[in-house]
Amino acid sequence: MIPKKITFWGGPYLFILPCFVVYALFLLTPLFGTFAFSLTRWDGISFDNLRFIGLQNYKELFFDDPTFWLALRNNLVFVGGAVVFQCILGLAVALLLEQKLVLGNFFRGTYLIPFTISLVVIGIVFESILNPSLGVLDKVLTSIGLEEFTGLGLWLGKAKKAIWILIFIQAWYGFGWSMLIFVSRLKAIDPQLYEAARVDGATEWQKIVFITIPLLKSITAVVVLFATMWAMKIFTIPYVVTRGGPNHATEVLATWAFSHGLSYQHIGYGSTIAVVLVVIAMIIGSLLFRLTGMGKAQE
Amino acid sequence: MKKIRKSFIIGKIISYFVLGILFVIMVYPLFWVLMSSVKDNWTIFQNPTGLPSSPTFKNYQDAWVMGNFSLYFLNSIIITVFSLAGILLLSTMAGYGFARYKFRSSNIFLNLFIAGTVIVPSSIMISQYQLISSLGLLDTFLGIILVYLAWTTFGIIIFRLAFSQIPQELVDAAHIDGCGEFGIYLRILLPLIRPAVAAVGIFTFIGIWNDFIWPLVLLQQPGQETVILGLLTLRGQYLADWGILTACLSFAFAPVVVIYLIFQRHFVQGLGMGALKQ
Repeated sequence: MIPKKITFWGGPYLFILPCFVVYALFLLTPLFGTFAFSLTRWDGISFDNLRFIGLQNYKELFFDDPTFWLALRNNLVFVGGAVVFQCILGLAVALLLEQKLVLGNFFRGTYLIPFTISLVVIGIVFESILNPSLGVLDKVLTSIGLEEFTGLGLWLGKAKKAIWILIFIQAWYGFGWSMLIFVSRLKAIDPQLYEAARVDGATEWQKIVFITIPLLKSITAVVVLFATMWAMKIFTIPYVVTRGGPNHATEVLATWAFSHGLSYQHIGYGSTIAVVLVVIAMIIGSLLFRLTGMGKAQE
Repeated sequence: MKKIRKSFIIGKIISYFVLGILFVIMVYPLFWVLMSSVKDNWTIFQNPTGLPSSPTFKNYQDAWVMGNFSLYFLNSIIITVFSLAGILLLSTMAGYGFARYKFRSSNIFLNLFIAGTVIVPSSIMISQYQLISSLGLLDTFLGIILVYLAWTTFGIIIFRLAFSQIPQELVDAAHIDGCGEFGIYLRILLPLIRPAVAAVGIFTFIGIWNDFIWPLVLLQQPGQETVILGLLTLRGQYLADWGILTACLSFAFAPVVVIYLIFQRHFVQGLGMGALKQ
């Protein structure tokens, strides 16, 4: 279809405006609201109590709030875990699935199942399996001869170890997605390249190292950036499984913002934490747009 | 030649071994939930990993009636159906608008929509709560549906592309037959992009059904819970009743997994489109 040159009010408004009004009202407005509230102190009850305090929230956040730094650090640990477990495993499995195995499609389909399930369900499922009084995981591990790994369920109560359980849950959830993106990119590689390499006497291993891996560079960046964005905005898994505990050990930016903004009614301070999240997401997003060319609106 | 054959077979065995272990890790937790949901609580405690010897559906009955799951299901269905229909209508219309016309500020509009991909719910939940409550829509289905209706970015990107790939002759022919602009969109072009609508639809459906943040923030009256939010209420109520808890979990994940398995092709397409469209 060739786009017709016309003024906005000559036709396009009819199709675009309804969508834009809803979008502006319920996405752009709260976004600007987040920035605006971050400059205030407010209990959220009556506008009479709203006071403009400039950058004081930011000063407090950056200099007097150790939990904020702990939460940010935990987010970065999640990013590291997501990249290592989710992306590397995803790539490895995608390469294995390249071999046209008989059960290949079946495996691919099942690995994607967790990605369709709510994180609340996933959180409660793992909580139940890890529950020490029920001991499901310990029983399974014992029955396959891995006694030394029993007791994982107690990790959720330990400050230094709880986060690793949460990272595993996040990787379990997101791994199928990374794998699928790699699989789709691998399918798009021109088979003639492999054929040419075969004629030149390349081994299977050489084909992977010299043809496949270099061609996957840009899609790897996309997968890593998406996984990073998800790990930064992570909320549901810590909220459901540990509530940010024990003693803030699994607190992340989103749960900390929720506690202040919605539980303690510190609208201003909670919004300040949310602004940090928005800024980080915008940086990752702009990198993504550059890589995928999504920002190029019209050719 | 024989050597190659042998290493080929060993490679396959290793691949199946690795993929098989992963399969167990991915499927066992869900399998355990389904198994436990048909056992009574005492049996689960005695032997949590065993297969059910005399399966019972009592847990499902209790979850449905005592645990209020019938109500949660109804709430989820109302919210999801209206949001999904609205999102598909709004985003196909906007996608058509961007594909059909070029106007002075079209790129500005489109970029504003695309910026929506980076606005994550957890970063705007505080001010969204204030906005919805100042509109008097807190604890109403209308409020949460309106919030979902703003999730149109993904659809707009996909539909604009799908519409712009339709041959110009079809549009011209429709014009000659005396179709109005809206008629061309609704009756001639929309049916042509059905695969794209299916892909976006299945994806959006799963996203809304599974969403947790907006029900948590915007629906706080008891009785308004969606299936997902209701799970948290039930977890508190039936803390040590693993039978009922696992039945509730199965209620929450089984419908989406079944829908995913039926529409797998569309779902996979939608995923690929999100990340790969160049």
